[in-house]
Amino acid sequence: MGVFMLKRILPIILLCLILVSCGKPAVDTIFAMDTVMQFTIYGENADETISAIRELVREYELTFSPTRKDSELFKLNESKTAALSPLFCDVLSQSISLSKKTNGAFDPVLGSAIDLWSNKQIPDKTELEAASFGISNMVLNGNVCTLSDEASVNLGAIVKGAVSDAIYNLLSENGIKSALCPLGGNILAFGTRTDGTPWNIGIRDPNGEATDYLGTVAVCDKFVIASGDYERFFEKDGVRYHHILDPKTGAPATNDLRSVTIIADKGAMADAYSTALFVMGSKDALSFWENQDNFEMILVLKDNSVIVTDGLDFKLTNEEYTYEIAHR
Amino acid sequence: MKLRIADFFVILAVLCLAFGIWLYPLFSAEGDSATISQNGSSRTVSLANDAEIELDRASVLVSDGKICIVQSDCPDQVCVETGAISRAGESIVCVPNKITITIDGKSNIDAVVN
Repeated sequence: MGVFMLKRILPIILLCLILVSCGKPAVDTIFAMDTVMQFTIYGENADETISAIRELVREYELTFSPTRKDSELFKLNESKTAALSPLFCDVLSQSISLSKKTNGAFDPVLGSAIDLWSNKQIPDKTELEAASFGISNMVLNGNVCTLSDEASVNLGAIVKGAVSDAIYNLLSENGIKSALCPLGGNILAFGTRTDGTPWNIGIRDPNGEATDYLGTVAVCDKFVIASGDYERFFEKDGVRYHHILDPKTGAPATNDLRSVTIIADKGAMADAYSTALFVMGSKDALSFWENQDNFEMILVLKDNSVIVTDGLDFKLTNEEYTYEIAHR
Repeated sequence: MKLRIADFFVILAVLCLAFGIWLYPLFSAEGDSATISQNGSSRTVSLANDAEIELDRASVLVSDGKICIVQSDCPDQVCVETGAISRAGESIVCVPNKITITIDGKSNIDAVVN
């Protein structure tokens, strides 16, 4: 082989290396907010973006953790009144407006009821009835929040959605075009795959393991967030007690649903709606959807039927289920 | 400058090689190894050989081409209850002990919402 040929080969090899290497994403895992967050980010600024995300998640954890004694939320629940930071005030204001929108099916002031269920035991009935929970026990005046009696704020049904909204903004600001960010089971499918095709997201099979799915939905630039009875539950005398409480009763919601998946452009909204619509049951969830135009959804029912709204590209992959499409 | 036939062969060979490197992960759907991560350090284990692996506060078992967490001192035991996994893209997570185990290779889907 002469020098003549080497001269040609070298640039080609370099080009190949570039072609191969630019497809490699920055990958990171963060354990925070009581879950595991996995980030796969493609593009030039991916590493800087991941550092910025780490900072952001830390800030949310320090503000909203219900268990850390130094968190702003913990301190508010102890003192019952506090002037809130701009971040806390923003997420709490969103919670109040989403609670109104869902007619109270999503409620940010269920802390004392959640605590009663946290030992994986059925709480004493009189204790549950006497507990103060529900949004009527809270007043937000400007940035000053006041809680009555023993009521406490728990933002577990919205805060992962809220942090994913903030991550979305960071990705946009850093010029990222493609990123997949599962925060626990809540997914931010940012942009498209690097080849321009949509992300393919599996919808959890409630009868299977955590990685089993009953179908897939193809999405670009969306938040895909689910609530289901298969997470954080215990069983007693053949009854399943899951973690999604009905604000009316303070007990796990009981209706025809196994899971609700919301697909939308806003993470906090998708997170709160997935909980609220799970509490409503399929009939009310469908009429709620008919009157809104800013989200799509997939309902999985206890009879193994699936309802998919008509704005989605859904494929059923598990033959144990049947599905129908809902139209507005 | 004039290209010789030999040059074309070289170019073709290099392109094939690069394309092969690029495509390889897309076709390795069958999970034959797993990546175990804890506290920022990762290791890859083959699923072909049965093994017992001691992690910090948890034990992992590789058997019959599958991998599972058999014991963990965490309070909720979600990781142990996840059971054994073997398909590409599947994973086991232990949040309290900061462990992730993921079967290597490309799955048909990007993620599962749950």
